[in-house]
Amino acid sequence: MTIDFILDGADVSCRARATDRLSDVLAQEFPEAGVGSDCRAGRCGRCVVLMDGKLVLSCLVPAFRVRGAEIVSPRAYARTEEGESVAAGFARAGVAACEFCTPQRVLIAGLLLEEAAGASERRILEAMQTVQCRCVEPSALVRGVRAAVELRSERKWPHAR
Amino acid sequence: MRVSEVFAPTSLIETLGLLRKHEDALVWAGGTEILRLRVGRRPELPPTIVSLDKVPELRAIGRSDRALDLGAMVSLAQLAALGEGAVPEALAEAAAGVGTEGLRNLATLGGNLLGRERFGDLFAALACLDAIAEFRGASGSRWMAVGRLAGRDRKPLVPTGEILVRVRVPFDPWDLSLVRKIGYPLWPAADTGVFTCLARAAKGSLYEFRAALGGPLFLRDRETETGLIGKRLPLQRREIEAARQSWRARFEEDGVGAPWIERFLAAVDESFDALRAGVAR
Repeated sequence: MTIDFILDGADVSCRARATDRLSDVLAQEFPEAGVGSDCRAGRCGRCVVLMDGKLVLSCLVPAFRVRGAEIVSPRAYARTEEGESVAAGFARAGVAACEFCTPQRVLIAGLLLEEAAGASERRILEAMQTVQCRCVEPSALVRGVRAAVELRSERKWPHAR
Repeated sequence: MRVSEVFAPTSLIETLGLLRKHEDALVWAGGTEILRLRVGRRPELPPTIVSLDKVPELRAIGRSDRALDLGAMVSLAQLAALGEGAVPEALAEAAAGVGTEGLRNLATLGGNLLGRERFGDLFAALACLDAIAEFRGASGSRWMAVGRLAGRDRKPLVPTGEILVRVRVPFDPWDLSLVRKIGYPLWPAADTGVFTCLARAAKGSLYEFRAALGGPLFLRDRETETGLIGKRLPLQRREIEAARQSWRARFEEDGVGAPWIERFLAAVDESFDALRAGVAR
């Protein structure tokens, strides 16, 4: 079947079987999106994307569900202003995640920044569990998200300090 | 292999019509369990799929003074995010504990409730809460207690030829609402499950007590629960021991393996401790 959807802001179209996993479709047809398809069982979190604004494990999304959807890959998110701001927060907090999980973690941290009440430590740790990579201490990720919140606040209100 | 034919009905009536026409169709809710269990690049699936994600009736959330109505396609993330007071605590906690956020945004209440291989993480909570489920098929609509979706062999009993439309969860006040994951918390395995215990006290006595465990099998014994009701709080050591013996005997009689009996009793012990602490407060 032909699947039309929006990927990283651009209208795209590809041929896939209805039940192919989105992670495989992205890895094969759109390698520039940098989405991995490793465990294909919803465990590793290498395949996370935003689908219509929600974080999903794309290895658990069949191609037929993607028709008309808007997909944002972690690599593209990292290039947005929000993504750069998160990455700067991680750098300020000394978070040195590996190259395999950094884009996914930046994406998740970006979502946490959007939460109105501000994410608690528990919420940050819980959200970060979506990516199963042990390259960085969980407490460092909490510091990274908090540094990103601070940085964003400084940029928004530069004279507040 | 045949290319799958996927139908995406936009109403309940259309869905039921499709299921009548394609009796062997695979009904696709969130699909996370279907794809999780079929590891591989191209999962083997039936040739016809009926996807429920475009059926608005299945996404509805309604609330009255006495109960919460949840459409079968409500996602576990939505359920967990309904907020304190809007959803019974045990149900919200069980939903929040399922997998990771990336999975909860896809997984649905209906899919969790109607797992074929094992009882989903919400099952014990829904059974303890006395939730009822509405199924619709060719012969109309019927309501069924969620607890009845466990067969006599303690394995899942999935109705065929009907679809789950919604689940009605009563709002009852609970003094104890305890949910415990057993085994590795992030994804299901042969030794994982979710235990739920609900209790209510009145005039210094135990007025209501429910305890259940869902995983590869479903453990609950209403007789033992009934035996505890009316006892003065805090419960005496001998009363707790008698209840433990009763659960053990009933589960052994049904051929439940010792590890699952021990897991159930350990969780029950924690519930009794929490109940004692609550009473002491």
